[in-house]
Parts: sequence; C-alpha cells; structure tokens
Amino acid sequence: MRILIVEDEIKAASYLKKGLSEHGFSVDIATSCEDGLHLARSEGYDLIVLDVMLPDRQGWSVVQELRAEGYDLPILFLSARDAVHDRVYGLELGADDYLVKPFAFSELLARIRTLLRRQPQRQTDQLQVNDLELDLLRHRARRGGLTLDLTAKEFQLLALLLRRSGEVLSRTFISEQVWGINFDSDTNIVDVAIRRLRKKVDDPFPTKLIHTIRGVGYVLEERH
Amino acid sequence: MCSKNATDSSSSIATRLTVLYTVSMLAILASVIGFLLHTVVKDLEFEDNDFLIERISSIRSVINRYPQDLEHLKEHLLPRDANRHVRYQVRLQDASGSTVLESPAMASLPPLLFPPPIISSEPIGRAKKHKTSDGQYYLLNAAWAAAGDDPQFRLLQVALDVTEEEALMANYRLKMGSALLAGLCLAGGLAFIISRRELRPLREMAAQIGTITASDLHQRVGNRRWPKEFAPLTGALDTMLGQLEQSFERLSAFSANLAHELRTPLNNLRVESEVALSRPRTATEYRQTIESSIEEYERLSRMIGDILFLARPEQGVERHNLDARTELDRLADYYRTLAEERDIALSVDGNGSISADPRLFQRAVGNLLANALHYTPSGGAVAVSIQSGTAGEAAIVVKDNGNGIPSDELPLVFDRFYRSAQARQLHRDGSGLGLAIVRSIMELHAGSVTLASQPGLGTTVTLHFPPS
Repeated sequence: MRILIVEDEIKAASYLKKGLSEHGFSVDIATSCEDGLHLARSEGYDLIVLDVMLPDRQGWSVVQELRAEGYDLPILFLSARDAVHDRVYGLELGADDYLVKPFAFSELLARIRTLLRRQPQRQTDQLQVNDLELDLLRHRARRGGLTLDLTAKEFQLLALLLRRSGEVLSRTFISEQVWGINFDSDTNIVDVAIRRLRKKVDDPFPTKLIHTIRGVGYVLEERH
Repeated sequence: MCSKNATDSSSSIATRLTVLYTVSMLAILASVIGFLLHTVVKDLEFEDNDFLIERISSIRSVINRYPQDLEHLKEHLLPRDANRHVRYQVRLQDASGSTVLESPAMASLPPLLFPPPIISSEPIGRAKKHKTSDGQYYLLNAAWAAAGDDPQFRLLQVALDVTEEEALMANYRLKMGSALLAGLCLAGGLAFIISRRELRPLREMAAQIGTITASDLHQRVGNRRWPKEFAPLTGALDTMLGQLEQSFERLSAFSANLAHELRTPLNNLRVESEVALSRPRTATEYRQTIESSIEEYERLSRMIGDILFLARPEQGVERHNLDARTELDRLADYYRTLAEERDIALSVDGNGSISADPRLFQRAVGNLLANALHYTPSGGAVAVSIQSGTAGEAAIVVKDNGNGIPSDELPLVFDRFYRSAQARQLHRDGSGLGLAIVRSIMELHAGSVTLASQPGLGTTVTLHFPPS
C-alpha cells in the first residue's frame, strides 16, 4: 500500500514515514501543496495524509483540487486546530477523516487501516486467536476448550480486541467502541476493565494474549 | 477615529442646557412683561373711556336743561381761558348736521371720524382711537343729546387727547423690551456658567476613570462624594471594575497555574531523559524511559485539550433531544467498572428528556461521576438521578456520600486548576479542570451548575438544563 504524506515539518514527516514504513506501507513525502499535488497526480497512491497548515497555501485546496479532478483516494488530514467548523469544513470538502495534533501514532495507524479497508470487513461469526475462540452469534467465549464467564461489556471488549487482533488500540478508541464514550477522560477505567478481562482470559492460561503497550494502549496477539 | 466622530456629531449638554434655559426665560419674561403692559394699557383706556362717558352724560344733562341757551353751554363746555390746555374737546351739531358749537382743536378732527352716535337709552360704547396727521392721539366718542321729547336734538362729539399717555406707553414698551433683552442675556450667561459648573463632576469622573489601568483595578469611583444623580453610574462602574478585577485576578492565577501545571510533566520528561542518557543502558531501560515519556505526553496533550476547550467559548453546540436515562445508563456502564473496583454502589434513577449536545452532556456528567468516584471511600454510594420540572427544565443530580468539601473551598472548586490538598492526595493525575469544564459546558447550554457539600457527609452536584 502506498501512502503520500504532505507535511512541511521535516521532523514530523520523517517520523511518520518511519512509523508507517515499519508497519508495511510504502511512503513518499511532499513538503508543499504543489509537490503534493504533483506527486498525487503522477503516482498511484492508496491514501494521502495531509497537514492542512502548509507554507504555500492551505492544505484544504489540495483536497478540493484532487476531488475536482476526480481522484477519490482516501485523504486523512492532520490539524493543530480542532475548532468544530474546521473539522466540518475539511470533511465537507471531501476529506475522509481527520486527526487533531497531538495524536497518538497508534490512532493514526488505526484510522489509516480503517480508511484503506474500503470494503466493509466480512462480518464473521467466529473469531479465533490461538486457543481463544469467540462465537459472536451465541455470545460465547471459550479458551482451551473451557467456557469463559464474561459480562456483556467484557465480551464486547474481548470481541473488539480479537477483531482488531495485532493492532494497538488506544484507551480512547476502546472507550468509544465498547462504551460509546466520546470524550477523553483521565480515569483509568479501560485499564481496570482490561485487568478484569485478563483475570478471566489470560491468568488461568500459560500463554498470554492481551499485551499492554505502555503509554499507548492494548493489543491482543500471539507472541512467541 | 470613531470616538472623535461621535464627539463631533453629538451636542454638548452644557450648550443644550443653556439654550433650553434661555428659551424658558424668554417665555417667562415675555409673558410677565406682556401681562403687565396689557394691564396698564387696559386700565388707562378704561379710565379715559369712563371720563368721556361721564362727560357725555354731564353735557347731555346741561343740554336737556338748557336746550336753547348756547351761552350757558359755551361757558359750561369750552375753556374760558384759551391758553389753558384742555384734555378734551367738544363739538355740538344739530339734527341737520350743522355745527352749533365746537372747541378750537376740533378743527383737526372732522365729524366723520367719530363713531356713530347713540341715543340716551342705549349704553355708551367704547371710544375710538385716532391718530392725527401731526402725531396727536385722540379717543373719540359720540352720542345724541335729548331735549324735551326729541331724542336726537343735538349730536354730541367728544375727543380726549391721549398723546401723553401714548408716549408714556411707548416709553414703557421700550424699557420693558430692553429689560427683556438684558434679562435674556443674563439668563443665558448664567445658564452657561451654571451648567458648566454642575457638569464639572462629570469631567472629574472622566479624569479619575482615565487614571485606572490594568495594574490598579482595585480603584473605585464611588468612594468619594458625587452628586446623587451619579449614584447609578458610579455603582455600575464599580461593579464593572470589580468584575474586571476579579477576571484579571483569575486570569493571572490561571496563567500562573497553567505554567505551573505544565512544568511538572515537562520536568519529568526532561530529567528522566537526561538520566537515561547519562550512561549506557540496556534496551529495556531505554524502552521504559520512552514509555514513561509517552505517559507524560498524554498528560500534556489532555491538558492542552482541556485548556483549549475552556478557552473557546464559541464552541459549536449541537443540541439534540436526548433521552437522559439512556445517556446516563451508558455512562454508568462505563464508570461502573471503576465503581465495582472500589466497591462503590453506582445507581441511576428517574427518566426525562434533555436538550443538549450529546458529547458535551457526556463529558459534563462523566466529569462529575469521575469526581464522585474519586472522593468517595469504598463501601460508599454514588447516585445519579434525573429530575424533570413542569416547565420543561430538567436537572441531573449526582450525589455521593463521600468525603465532602470544606466550606472554605466551596467557592474555589469551579476555578480552573484549583485542586485542594485532598484532591492532590486522592486523585494525583487530576488536572483541576474537571469542574471548570462542567461549568463551561452548562454555560454553553444556557444552564447552570450548583454544588452543595458537607464534609464527611458527601457532595451533591446538580446540572440545571433550561427548557429546550
């Protein structure tokens, strides 16, 4: 997958390139709107990450021009301003998603993956990682042949981790997906919930599946 | 520029007072003088008329008594000494119109000038005023004098010389006019001086206000004696100054707190990194340093997010009709994880609908729940309830039976960054912005937040939402 980053700040552009490259993307950098437009037209990118505060002109115009020329690749914009009308404006112009600085890299990665997963994922009824199985239809979780006794929210949380297995999920994202909480609370509720889930899912078993990425979030994956 | 234009186009109070005062004086003086002159003129005329009427009756009776005795009449009517000045003149004519007798001065007053005569049974009318070509003024009257049974035996014409009186009146008018003019000038001058003098406090107040700067907002305008009419103005100004002073104090406390709060995470970041770099370490140690840094970054970015939220009063509020119970149940589900962990009972009660921005509603109630859970010891209870009023207003009440807040801290809890000693101890990661954000959210909804607390018994916070 090819990604174009339009960002004038060299430092930001280089760590974004490094991070995304390490997650399997092929990344190019443009440091101005003109370069960005030129590259976007000549190369076949799958997605553009666009900073809207660029030196030569507002990043919005890149979205506008590309959309006017018929390019429909997903565009995610980054902004240091999160005034409501800024977000609405960007999305109205045809951008697909936005992130407000400062953002977590895991958040950016999750959003890029969501945008690239254009076709809605085939909704499976069964999820499995290692010996952990989830039957979404029957609302049943089993590990190593034993049925796990989970509350409704615990089941939802485990299902989210399993569905996004291998992706680091931030606390904010987890609160939003599992509880429908839309604000960044400074409580450690997600940590508590994960701890309780671990007690049931990981503690009785020798192989641990839920891992903490300190300061970032949680990931469910098989580690050897 | 704007203020200059405003000054140019608006009139001065002193000028307007002067003009109005002078116009009033003109009206008063003119009516008084007019009345006096009118009275004097009327009185004089009345007297002169009476004199003529009295003359007419007296001559009538002489004629009636001596109809044919011309000599007697002459003696009675005309002055014996021709040099003596007589005020009145007489002319007698017979019924055919030929003059029987007349005073010498009557020559300048032809018979046709006189008013039509009346017979003795009719009341004698007012005399007619006439100015001769040589500038003399006369009052003229006429009547028939009867003899025997002839009511129109003689035509009697009398004229009274009022030249002196007229001159006197003209003199009076001139003097009164001059007095009026002088009075007006005096009134205008006095009005100007008085209004300037009485408006002096205004200039003094402007000068005093002009000296107040941001650094001495403790000054007050109302602390000296001003005219009574200034009381509302000085009161309003002082209230404004008080509010400004308070806002300035809050703002500077806010900036100081902000810098302070930013220092802690920055210091953690800096020192921790420096220590890590001071000598070679294992990959795990570096990793731990970076992980710890990310936690500080998160704290910083959350703080910035909160501050920006508070700094933008024009936040877009998208109000929807929310089922309050659904929203509260959702929040309770989330916070129950924490409540169970701490062995606190969390309950939701009541039903109702609320017009609010769903995100902001969630954030406000969430902050209150987080506070309640942080400051309630295990075994306690936190209850959220919805109270719907009759007029469509609604309230969300978050009540705990936790530690409570000392009364001296109550006025401060909504201040940005304010954190009590208890808060610092029990909730170390708190930013001190939670309640400030709650209040800001309620203001965005034209509602309010109230807080009641008793140390040891618990705290109740109520969010009041106005009718949609």
